[in-house]
Amino acid sequence: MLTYVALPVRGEGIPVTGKEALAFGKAWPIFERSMKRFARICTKDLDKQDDLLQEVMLTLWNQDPTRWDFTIDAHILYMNKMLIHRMHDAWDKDKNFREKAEDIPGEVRMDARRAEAEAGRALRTTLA
Amino acid sequence: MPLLSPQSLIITSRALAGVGLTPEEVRWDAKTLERATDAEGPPSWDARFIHVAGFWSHYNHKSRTSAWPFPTDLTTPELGMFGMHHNVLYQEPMAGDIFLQWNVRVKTFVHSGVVVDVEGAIRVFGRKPAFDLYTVEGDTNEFAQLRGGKCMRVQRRLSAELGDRFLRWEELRHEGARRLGDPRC
Repeated sequence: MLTYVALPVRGEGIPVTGKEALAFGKAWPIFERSMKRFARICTKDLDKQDDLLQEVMLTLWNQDPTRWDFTIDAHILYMNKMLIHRMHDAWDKDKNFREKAEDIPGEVRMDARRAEAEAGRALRTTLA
Repeated sequence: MPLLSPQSLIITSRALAGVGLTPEEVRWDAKTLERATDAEGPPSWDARFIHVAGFWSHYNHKSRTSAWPFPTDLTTPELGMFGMHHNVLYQEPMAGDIFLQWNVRVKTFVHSGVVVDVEGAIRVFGRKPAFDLYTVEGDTNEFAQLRGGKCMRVQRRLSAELGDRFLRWEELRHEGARRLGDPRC
């Protein structure tokens, strides 16, 4: 007696599957130039500029470019505004942080660093 | 009462995506185009694709009717309104749901498709979860963009945090939801 078993067959020429993650690569070049320009306006420090661009890229990623139609000017303008505000916020926060850090006297800063290192050591000892 | 089957919708929509339905085959009728065309152009045919798949997956050849519970001229924003009105919009997906993707600028749903599988969930404390989904949708492309002009299987992440919702149409089990045959489908 013969027994037939259906085996799964891998089809030829099956259309590719779309991936949402790829949309970022399409969307970023639209904003890259203006974001780099704004980062240069914010700070002359190249490392800081890179940090600001990273913040903006993360925002664009989190906003999910697939729900935006970047062939429509209004969508590009809205997103551009959102990204510039985000970069401005990040820059402002960084600036405030640095100003506050400069206000703190050197000895206090050293004490804080020492306390932090001690806390780290204590944690490592506990974990060990 | 006709049975609504998410599994049938999944199978039909996946088959249609495999065949590669073109925009010409699933175009909106003139009335819908006139009604739904706005400043951003004519409505996307993503919802039309769902209606075609839904209609044929629930078609009964004996009565020549389909149990598909939606009017077949509802665009994506209207599907959202319909779901809200019938209280079947959810924040967490299930296979067979219709996903509705939200856009914060136009403050409406801009894209829709069929959830084939929920591949995973990302839960962050204090935030609404995000879901990795395998979907079938119309008017998209390899990059899962809006108005891509193709019928595709897509891997995407959706989240209620960004306003996305899932239409659990299986729960529309009432007499009024039964549709007569649509000659266009």
